[in-house]
Amino acid sequence: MSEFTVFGKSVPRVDARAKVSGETKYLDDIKLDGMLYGKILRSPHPHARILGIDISKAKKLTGVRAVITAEDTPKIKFSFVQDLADKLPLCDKEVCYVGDEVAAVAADSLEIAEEAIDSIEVKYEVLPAIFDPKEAIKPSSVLVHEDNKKSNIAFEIHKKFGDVEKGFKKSDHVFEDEFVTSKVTHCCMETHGCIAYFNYEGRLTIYCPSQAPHTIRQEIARILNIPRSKVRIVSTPAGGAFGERLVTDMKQPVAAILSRLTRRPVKIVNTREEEFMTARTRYPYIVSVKTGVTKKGKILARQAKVVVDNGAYNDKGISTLNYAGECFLMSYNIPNLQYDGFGVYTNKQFGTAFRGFGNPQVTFATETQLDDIASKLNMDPAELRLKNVNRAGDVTVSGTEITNSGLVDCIDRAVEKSGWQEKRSGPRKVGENKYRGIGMAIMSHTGSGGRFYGYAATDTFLKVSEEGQVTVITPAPDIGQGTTTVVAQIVAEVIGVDLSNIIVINSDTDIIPYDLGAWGSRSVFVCGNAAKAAAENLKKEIIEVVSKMFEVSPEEVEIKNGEAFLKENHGRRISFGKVAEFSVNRLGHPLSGRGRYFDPLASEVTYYKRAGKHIPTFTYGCQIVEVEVDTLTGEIKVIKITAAQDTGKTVNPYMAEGQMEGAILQGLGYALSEECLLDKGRPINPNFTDYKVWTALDIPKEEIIFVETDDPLGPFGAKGIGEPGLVPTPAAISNAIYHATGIRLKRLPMNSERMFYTLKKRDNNKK
Amino acid sequence: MLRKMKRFEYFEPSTLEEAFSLLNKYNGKVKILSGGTDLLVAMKERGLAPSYVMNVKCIPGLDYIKYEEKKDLRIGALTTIRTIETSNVIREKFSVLAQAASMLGSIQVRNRATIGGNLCNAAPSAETAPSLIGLKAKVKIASLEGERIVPLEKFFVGPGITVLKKGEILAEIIVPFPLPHTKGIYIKYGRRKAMEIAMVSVAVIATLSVEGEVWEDVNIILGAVAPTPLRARKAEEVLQSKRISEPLIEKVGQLAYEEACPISDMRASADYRKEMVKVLVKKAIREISGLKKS
Repeated sequence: MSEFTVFGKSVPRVDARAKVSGETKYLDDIKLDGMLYGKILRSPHPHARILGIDISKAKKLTGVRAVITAEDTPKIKFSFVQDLADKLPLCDKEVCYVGDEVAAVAADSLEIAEEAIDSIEVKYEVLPAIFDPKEAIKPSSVLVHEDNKKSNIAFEIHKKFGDVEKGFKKSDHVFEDEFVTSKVTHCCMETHGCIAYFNYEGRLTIYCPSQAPHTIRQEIARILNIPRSKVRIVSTPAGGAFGERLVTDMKQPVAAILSRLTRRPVKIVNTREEEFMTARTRYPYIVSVKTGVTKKGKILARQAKVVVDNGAYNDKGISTLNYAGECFLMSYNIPNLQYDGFGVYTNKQFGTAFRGFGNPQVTFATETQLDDIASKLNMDPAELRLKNVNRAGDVTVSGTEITNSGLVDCIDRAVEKSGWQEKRSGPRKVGENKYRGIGMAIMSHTGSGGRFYGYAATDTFLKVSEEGQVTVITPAPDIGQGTTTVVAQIVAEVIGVDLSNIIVINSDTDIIPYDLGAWGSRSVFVCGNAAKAAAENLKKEIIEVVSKMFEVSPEEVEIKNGEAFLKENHGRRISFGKVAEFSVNRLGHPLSGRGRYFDPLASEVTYYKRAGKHIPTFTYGCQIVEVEVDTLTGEIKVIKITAAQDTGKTVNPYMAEGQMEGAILQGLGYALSEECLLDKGRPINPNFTDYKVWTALDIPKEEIIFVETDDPLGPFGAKGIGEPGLVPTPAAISNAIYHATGIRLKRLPMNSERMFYTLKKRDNNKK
Repeated sequence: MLRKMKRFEYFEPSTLEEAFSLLNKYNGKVKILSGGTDLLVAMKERGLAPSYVMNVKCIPGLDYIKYEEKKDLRIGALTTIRTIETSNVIREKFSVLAQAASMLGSIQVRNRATIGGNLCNAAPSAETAPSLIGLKAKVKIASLEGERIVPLEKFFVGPGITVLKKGEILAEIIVPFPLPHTKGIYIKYGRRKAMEIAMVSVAVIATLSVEGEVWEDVNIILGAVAPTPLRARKAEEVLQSKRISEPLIEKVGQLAYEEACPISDMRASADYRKEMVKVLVKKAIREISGLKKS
């Protein structure tokens, strides 16, 4: 029997009924009185100077309420990291990618807005553009921002522990490889959009799906040069997020300016084509890895050099590069480590956060190379990993204390459940030109957000109605991952009430406590801990009230299943509702609770210092993939994925499985089929016909295994697992392909055409 | 959110005559809607902005499958792809067509899309075209002037272009009853199992001798590797009246490879498409002849 009643149970999501019945109102379902429709004119050129904009025709159209260009904006440059600010809401002199914002209109209808946009005439002087980051990094390259930058290097990250050169010298074998990852995008079911409304008091409300409403509030205030107190963000239910809803999208300040001019609410929503062309992508990385090992398979040194294809503007580039470096430093117990990363501007759609945050890119490189090392050393890949992994209690050379780790168990369980031993040594040829193989990859990822902001805290407030209904005021954004349900489960578990008695409010910055948002798999950990603390605080107050009702000492009272009773005498019991009523009507005060998660170490850590201390607790996973390769066509079929994941303690098994399955599906697309294709900077597949996300029919068999480690820092032992599912998937697939065919693919996506030509090249070399 | 469509005038004729007069009146500016799974996507995603849209789905009597033993199969142009896919007679007697139909889009798309629409949209990758050409189908084209019958093979002119003249509507597809010992296979090659447009598709339909060893009538049709569905005539000729053998299959594959003239686009490179033609034509012939590669 579990010690828990609600926590750890597969209870249905609290928002399931509203979502499946269509009752939930997403952003585009909302219509406010007097609302106007906004539209943005975007650059058709990857790089050009704006010589002039003629908006006179647009202004004359009936139904057009406002037409704006950079002249109507405060021209304050913006980036998620203020030091790297480089983006205007509407371009002033220069456009730097196809899709860059140039002008905007607000009109009575979308049709009129589109007509108005079409009538704006912009004179451009086309400038030379650069698309390849390896070319762009050269000092002689064409500049992406011609007007104000001296080089295309946007930022750098360097981390060094021990001495890799010495480590390579001591090694028996040194391996050097280059890996290239692709540009993929989140493909949220709901395209990006917002409604902005400046009221007559000069207060701005923005409705939008958001992962980090307080961050958006701060950014909007900065771009519009108004106090944060004048901005309110209301998060609408998100039809997917995956990192795409973390940073301000330029539609938000543009809609706000249009609203300020018209005194009407203004809605701007992306078409799917705009979404593909301008919503930000996963950063493509070029990762060079050098690893030195002894004959017996001990890794002595590892070095990575990363070139990030930043796209035209800064966003989360530096943050993902830094974070991927943190994971690189702690994934194995290696005495000498060096990580150097460069973010390079190119005249392309720019990147942002995407599930895994840089870690999938670097893990693809390191875990694929490790498989190669295992094969050269003639060692089992699982054994080589076990020989080098960190275990609980270890301290890495970068200073990370491994407080808790389920990694060894994850490897063992995945090996056992996948039939690894048997399939590794079994026959590979399974039919006419068909070869099967099995490969593995592991990963380490934060299960708790991070201390990057120099801040990692939040509050939660609870109030109880006079009849016992509990309202939880939490900042945990629900972006489809189910935090509303998770928070409700944690509170219900502590105070022993039924889930149906809990209401969660988590969407309005005027109400919810300050918080950094849903990223880094942090909500369960940070917001869950705050909710648990608040519930414990409320529980204490309830017990005090009950002790007064029963005239006993608080120690004698227990609460469970919506009732309070005496530990010694279960006959004396009273419902939670009656307790609330007694408190209000007899004692004259309501019941409430507050709780805080506070991480004292956070204030000592920033992006640039205290490497190794950025993350409170890590989560781990191992995936084993079986593939079948058709050597005539190059087709790669995934037969089965076995994924073992350290969850700390699983809050809700169904939802956790959903997180893993969804992430693995994104990982499969990333590995094998998805890619934003550009022709001289122009997107050529901005639709679901030619951007190949997998359909339900394509999904292979998935076996998800949860390894519970009872994290000492997590709420009831839980860690976040929103992101990790896709981190090891591409490497595991690449390794399975190698096992099947002897071909090592180092470039994503590993599609059939790429496989076909690699096989052909090998066969030609053999001849 | 999809792009808002530009304003257009919409007609729903209830007879073919009414449809013809509208076509003549608006002289080539009318787009025919017969399901919408291509037309509406073009209007909402690719900025196609016709002045007039005529929905022919309300015209009665164009949605049928009529089969006459030993004679032919007649399919009304407004028959949905799903109806064709699930029709017992097509599954039994013209299985290659049912097979192709089952690979178009998804069930939801197949419930809306019509065979007439699939053919008149004239995509080089049109799902039903290779099988129908291989089955020697003809199309009945109707207009105020009367009817004419055109072999489907001659129907396609280029991507999105057919022999249909102003004022004409595709009314019926006629598939002759196949000779005994005719076998067919359609192979679609894409990256996904559904909602996919073929990188390459291949239909091979052949009439074999009574003993099943000599190929007497051979049709090899390639999709998505030329401006229109393409008959690989040289490859067909090599097999004609021949006893099947591995070297012969290799030769057929090579000839089909040479005949294909695809473009490179975001779905695949021209060279990869040609390579896949070779692989898939050989695979199709082996499957029909029951040969396994040694």
